[in-house]
Amino acid sequence: MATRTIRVDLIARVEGESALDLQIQDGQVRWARLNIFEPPRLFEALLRGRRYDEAPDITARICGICPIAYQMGAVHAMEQALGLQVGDPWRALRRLIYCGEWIESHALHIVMLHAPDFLGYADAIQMAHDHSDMVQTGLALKKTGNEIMRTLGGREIHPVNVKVGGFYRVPSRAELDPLAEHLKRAHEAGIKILRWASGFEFPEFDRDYEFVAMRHPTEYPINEGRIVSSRGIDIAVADYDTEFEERHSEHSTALQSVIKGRGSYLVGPMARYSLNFARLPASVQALAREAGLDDACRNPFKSILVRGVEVIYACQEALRLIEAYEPPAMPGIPMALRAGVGNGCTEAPRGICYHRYEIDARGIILNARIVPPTSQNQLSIEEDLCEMATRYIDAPEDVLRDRCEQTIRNYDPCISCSTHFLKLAVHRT
Amino acid sequence: MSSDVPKGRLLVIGIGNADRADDAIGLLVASRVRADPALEDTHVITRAGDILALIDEWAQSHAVILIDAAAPLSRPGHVHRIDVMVRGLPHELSLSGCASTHAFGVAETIGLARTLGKLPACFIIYAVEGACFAPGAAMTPAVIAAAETVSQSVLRELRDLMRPNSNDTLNSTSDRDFRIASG
Repeated sequence: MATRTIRVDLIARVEGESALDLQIQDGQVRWARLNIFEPPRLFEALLRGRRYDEAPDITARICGICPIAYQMGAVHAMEQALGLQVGDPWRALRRLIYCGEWIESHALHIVMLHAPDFLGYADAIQMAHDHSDMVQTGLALKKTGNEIMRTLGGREIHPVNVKVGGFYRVPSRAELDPLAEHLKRAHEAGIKILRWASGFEFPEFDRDYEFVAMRHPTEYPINEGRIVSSRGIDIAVADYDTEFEERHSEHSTALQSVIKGRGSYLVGPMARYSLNFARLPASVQALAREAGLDDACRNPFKSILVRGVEVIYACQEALRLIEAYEPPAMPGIPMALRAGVGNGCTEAPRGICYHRYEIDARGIILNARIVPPTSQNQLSIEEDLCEMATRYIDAPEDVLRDRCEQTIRNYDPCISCSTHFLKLAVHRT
Repeated sequence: MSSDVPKGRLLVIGIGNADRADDAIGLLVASRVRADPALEDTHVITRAGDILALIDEWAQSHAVILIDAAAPLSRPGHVHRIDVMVRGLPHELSLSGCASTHAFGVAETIGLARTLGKLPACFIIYAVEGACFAPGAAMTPAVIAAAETVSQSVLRELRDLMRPNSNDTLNSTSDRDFRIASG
């Protein structure tokens, strides 16, 4: 019996450290395991004993590209625990800074990390030789996202201006007006990038995911709403534990999330889009259809198009929010401390990010729980890999390896967030 | 879009994390350079690592000097001066294809800027070998000692670049690789 092993010591363009083992027996894929060996980061333990108002800035440190997702999950949960209702204009400002995070994160992934897969380049640097214009367009788009983050958050990485009850400082109209000019150009850049990406060749690879995302009565979900799924889940954020659970797997330092009684599910742009297409403006829907997307997208390779649609939406939404902005007299609302439990869930660029905190009457954190998107997508990634490896089982090993790497990059995974790179070993017996 | 660097100016970039021991060397040198009152045309900035957003600023700059910590090669405090326009990046720094979803490092960003034609006429890197990058740990004495030497070298280069007839080719054929005496 011959055994062949393919090993990839470094999977590029993925954040964090992990490895992939593929077990192939008698010509069939037996299993795929995403072995996450990045050391646990223990943020939840770190939060215990800290003050409620430290949570947004501590949790922002979990991730360099989606700190807003962590800040928002934390402030929403704390506000629920404290019985606070934070309305406009602070709510609108929070949605605006989140648009900035979506724009910068998606722009980076679409152009610099994912597009090279479709065009046959090793990386964006090689791709830039032939696609300089698109790379520069992507960089300009990302810069606009960064500028929103800097203007509202004080700095683009790990912003420091979001607080429980509002903001530490709110911008003047004059500070937001220049952003509007950048966003108009960014909107055009987003359309250009979506049309470019729509010309890529996509493998036929539809999968029957259970999509999970937020849903808001009227808005495309970013910051609030109920948690819904394509198979009937429709719960308040506080009921997260009734439908979802985390499991420990020996091959991973990250917990893996499942839907109780069913198993894997998918969060992120495809889930958001497929469950909320009707909440996109007609102009954005038209651009999505022009790019070849239907009302729902089940082909993970086409997630690049969905991200493109979301970038365009985020630019439009940011422009709308800026136009309507009237600065408040105070940067936040008054509050009083009390003991309580709060839950928060928002749509990070990679999918829903759930937080739960228990605080005492002095505002000290007794317990903290954070479920990042990549933990929730781990099983779906493994199932995609099994399916992909099955389709390419007779392909040369370098082709199989490339397809597996691309399958993982479809998710724009953040391994660091989920503990949480990739070594690929294929064992054939 | 606000730009950090007015056209024609000199740009000094200190890269590092103040809480990761010897990784702070770039920040330390940047603070010393910034404190020199004679360098009015010099813009000094610090970054934690993701410098992709600086590509446009590079294109608008006369010259860029970047200071960063280097992984240990058994010589803590050893300073590598690299003229990117002459030598390119040493193989050891070339990480093309390894960009994470979160950050483009120095090597990737320089590679991309070169491809896009956005490198300035002069681009010098000072890479200081570190020994310890543990969170919260103190910098090693040899690396602290290197900060003073590198600061003086950077200031000397900046003064040369500010001379009216500067041709942006500072010692371009004489990359230096020098060692700071361990403390």
